Amino acid sequence: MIYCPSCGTANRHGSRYCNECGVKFSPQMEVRCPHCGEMTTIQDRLCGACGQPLSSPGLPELPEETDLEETESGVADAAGEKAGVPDWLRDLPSPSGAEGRPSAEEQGRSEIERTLSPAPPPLAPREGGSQERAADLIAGPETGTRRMPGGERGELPIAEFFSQPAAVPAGALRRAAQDPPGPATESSDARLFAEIVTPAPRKASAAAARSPAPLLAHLPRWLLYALLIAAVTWPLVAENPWAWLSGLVPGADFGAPRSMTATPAALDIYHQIGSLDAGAPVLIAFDYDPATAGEMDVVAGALLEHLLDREVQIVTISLLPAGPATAERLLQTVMANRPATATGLGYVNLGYLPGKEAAVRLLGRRLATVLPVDFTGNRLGDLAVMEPINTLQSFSLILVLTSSHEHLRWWIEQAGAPYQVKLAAGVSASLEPLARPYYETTPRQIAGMIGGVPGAAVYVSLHHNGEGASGLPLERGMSARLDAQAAGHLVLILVILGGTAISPVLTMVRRAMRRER
Amino acid sequence: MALLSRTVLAVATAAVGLIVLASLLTAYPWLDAIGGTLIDAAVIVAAFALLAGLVNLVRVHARQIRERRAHWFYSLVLLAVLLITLVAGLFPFAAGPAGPSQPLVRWLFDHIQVPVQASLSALLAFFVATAAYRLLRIRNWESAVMLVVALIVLAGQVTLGLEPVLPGLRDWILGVPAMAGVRGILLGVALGTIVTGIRLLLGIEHPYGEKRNRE
Repeated sequence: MIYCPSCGTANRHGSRYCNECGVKFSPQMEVRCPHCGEMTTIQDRLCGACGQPLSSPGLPELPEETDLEETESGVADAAGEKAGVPDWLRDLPSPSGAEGRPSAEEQGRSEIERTLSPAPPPLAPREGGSQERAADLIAGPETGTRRMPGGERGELPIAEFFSQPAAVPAGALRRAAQDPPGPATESSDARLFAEIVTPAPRKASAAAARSPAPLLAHLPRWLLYALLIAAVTWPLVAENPWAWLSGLVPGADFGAPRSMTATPAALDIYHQIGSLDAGAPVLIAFDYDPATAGEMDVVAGALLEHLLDREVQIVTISLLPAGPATAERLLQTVMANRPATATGLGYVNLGYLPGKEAAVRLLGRRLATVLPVDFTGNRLGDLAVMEPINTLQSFSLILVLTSSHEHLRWWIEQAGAPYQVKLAAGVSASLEPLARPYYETTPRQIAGMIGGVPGAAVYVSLHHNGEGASGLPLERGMSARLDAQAAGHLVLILVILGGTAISPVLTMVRRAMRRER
Repeated sequence: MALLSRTVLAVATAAVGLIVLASLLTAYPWLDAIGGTLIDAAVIVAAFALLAGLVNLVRVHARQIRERRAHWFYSLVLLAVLLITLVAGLFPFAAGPAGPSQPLVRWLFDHIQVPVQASLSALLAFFVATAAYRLLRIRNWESAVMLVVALIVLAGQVTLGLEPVLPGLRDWILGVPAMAGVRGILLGVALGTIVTGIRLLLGIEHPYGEKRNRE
């Protein structure tokens, strides 16, 4: 037997993959010898230390390099061999050890008793699946005598023997029926029983693990991926990516500059930031990390531009370990492209604050005690701009930039509600539906918000072109991003429609093939 | 003994919970000070948990390497990068104080963490495309409704001369039926949080004693 180091499942000797979890048994993997306890290579038949077979004594093994299909049919073919027992069964080691071979009767009885008697609660290699557990199963308790490997008792619970009649090879049953009664038969029965209860290799999973799926099977997926990449890339490189569509639809002009409509939530956050005085302290919670920065940097950048134009004092903080560096990266990019502000105000990055919602709560009490130094190691007490800022209430606005519902909720519950500070949010497109209920309350728990790249595009247009409820022209950069996103969505729509249309045809073809088989 | 320690833990939890709750609901300065200290302690414990997590990470991967388990090489890479980042952060090689603002740490962040995390996140697009092809099929009327709604919301995002019909329809779906569902979920979460809090305060729930209970 080979006990899978990953899930603990017992596999026949010579197996190259686990029948349960499909893990490949590499020649370097090691198992503990059930006889001497030494570690030895998993594919060895005999222990390198004591020379004993690594398989459990008394149970049959498949010959090495046996093909799975041949094995199953081979059992049936072996029915015609001498006494119905193939060679590999006759060479089984004795379960009673090296001191004297027991009689056939004893051997048969001991095998039946040994196989039937243990009825411990089923072990749980499949529940835990940990390597430690698997190692325990292989090693078993230290008894000092020859015994079955610890895991085998739990691996072959009695209930499983009788719940899998289909696993009994037809030839083996025929052989059992033809055997005359007597001591030899009992031994033969024991072997037959052991043969029956040994878990049959799962042909399908092992075969799937061994041979890679044919190239053709992956083709539709690769084509889909290629189409998606091409669709998303095209609008980013082309000057007017949709102009060619105008020729396909008479009277339509897809090449014309497009505009969007601002949502009430976007207008509200625009008004909130627009009403801030120069030098007003604004806390920005950068609660996103590089994983979502592709989308969130666009949202944050749109809001930051407006805030810097208002010449407010920006203070940033993050409840994520990677948040401060993400904020620093974006802030430096945005600041580098701007002329020096009239007031000379920069920004203060307070860094990472562990403690989740408790940390937010604590900020409302005393800021300098919670965060004595900023991201660059400056003491907050030494920064003149931080002098009037003691708690969360000192800020004119708290802007939460996040793609996580939890983080948004913490700020609303632990800062907005108890300390009555004004909150606004810039969220990812996927978070927008979850954030909306906080905006559409009376009084509003979020004073305003924008969501995803479309929200950022609207906000940039609002900022550059002034207020207008509809018909906001899109900036070139934003337009390209939106076009890329739109192309991706179009591909998804085509995929969904295509899948829905093809599905009944595929089902019919599969049924027809099954009937033919 | 186990019962005693469980009782002590339950009483301590209830006491801390009640003090913090009372400090939030009342205006006594002395109670507020105690509540603040306890919340402060929670933040310190959270910071310590990070350290404990780091130690555990090193232990697990060191064992992985020592026992030459599967994919041990990746563990080696992880520990090496961890060590480099730690050294670069703790011992300043450039001007400025030690910490995450050190140039080498920033370089590691910008050139390793950002691309890797962004790339992994970008793979979602392919998974979503495959999942959309395999799962969004009309099997019954519920799946048909779901498919139609998904198509409208997706098409509503596309700004290709489809305004204002599809974006308006998308906004209505997100603003009315989806919002109703989200509100229901949020209310359910809030009620669940209250019930869990009460169970903790009463000592019925004791997640801190899970291991002990199993034994």
